[in-house]
Amino acid sequence: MSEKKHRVSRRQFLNYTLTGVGGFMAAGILSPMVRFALDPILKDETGQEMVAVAQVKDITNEPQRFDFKVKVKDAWYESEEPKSAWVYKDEKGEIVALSPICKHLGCTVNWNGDKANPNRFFCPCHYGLYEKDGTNVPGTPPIAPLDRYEYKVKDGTLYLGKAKPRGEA
Amino acid sequence: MKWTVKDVDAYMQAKEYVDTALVPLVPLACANVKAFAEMGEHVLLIANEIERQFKGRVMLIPPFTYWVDEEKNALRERLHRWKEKLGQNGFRHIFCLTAHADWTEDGFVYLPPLPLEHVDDHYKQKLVSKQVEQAMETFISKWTEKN
Ligand code: FES
Repeated sequence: MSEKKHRVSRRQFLNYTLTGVGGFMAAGILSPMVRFALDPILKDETGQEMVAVAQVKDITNEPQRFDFKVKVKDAWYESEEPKSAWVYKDEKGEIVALSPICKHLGCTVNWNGDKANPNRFFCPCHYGLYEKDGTNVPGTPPIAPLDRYEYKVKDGTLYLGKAKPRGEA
Repeated sequence: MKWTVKDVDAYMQAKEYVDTALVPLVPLACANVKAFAEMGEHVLLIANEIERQFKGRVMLIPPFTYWVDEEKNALRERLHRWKEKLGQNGFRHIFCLTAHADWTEDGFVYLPPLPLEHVDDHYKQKLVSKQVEQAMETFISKWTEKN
């Protein structure tokens, strides 16, 4: 038995190590690519997750309220924050998703919430009013239109992202 | 609004709009603890949800906490002083939320505790939002009757 046979030559040693290290590097590069390809969660430009909120077929011309939850992280813990959106299709068939948060002081507004003001959003706190497209009605406390959610439709499902002031969304 | 630095700041700038104080009542006990813990938890859950929807008009006050075996009159007196103080500070409407059937005074919103422990999440949410809705209706009707 000669010991020589079992010795690893310089060439072999380099081969082994390079394939090994190269393999790791390749895996490191490829796996996130694969993950992105398979990952069904949608993200908006800022990397924020978008949340599945409704089925497109359930959306009508009449605003309906959909409730959902988003994960929020503050300095100490991650928690789920309940959110809602008023969603409808406008005359052009385009989806509009409005934030229900009153631009006055933040109460939740309701569609047709006031008998005297049909087809408007109503804020019960200080009687703020908004038109169907979210425009604030002059003479009521709110001074800006309702925010709009960024949205995406994928496979018949509506996903919502961040609510943004009108003009930005 | 909540009793936090951020919200109190907003409150100071919009004081005339925030005219309603919401006081959750949380009981403490040494016996039958589970039932009382449930009452407190339930009241806080609903109070937080009401605050979320009525943020611009309602200030959620930190809970009024008491021992269930406190002497009744002294306890009522203590709560009365809380309400008086809030009234002096500009709150025109003061609502106390409780799940403890011992309280029968005016201006109380009674929320019977729900047996939530064994209920699945979806159904739980339904039950809770029903109560939240009812409580909010009470608020709205009180607001409109005085205006
Ligand atoms: S918070 Fe909506 S009108 Fe004041």
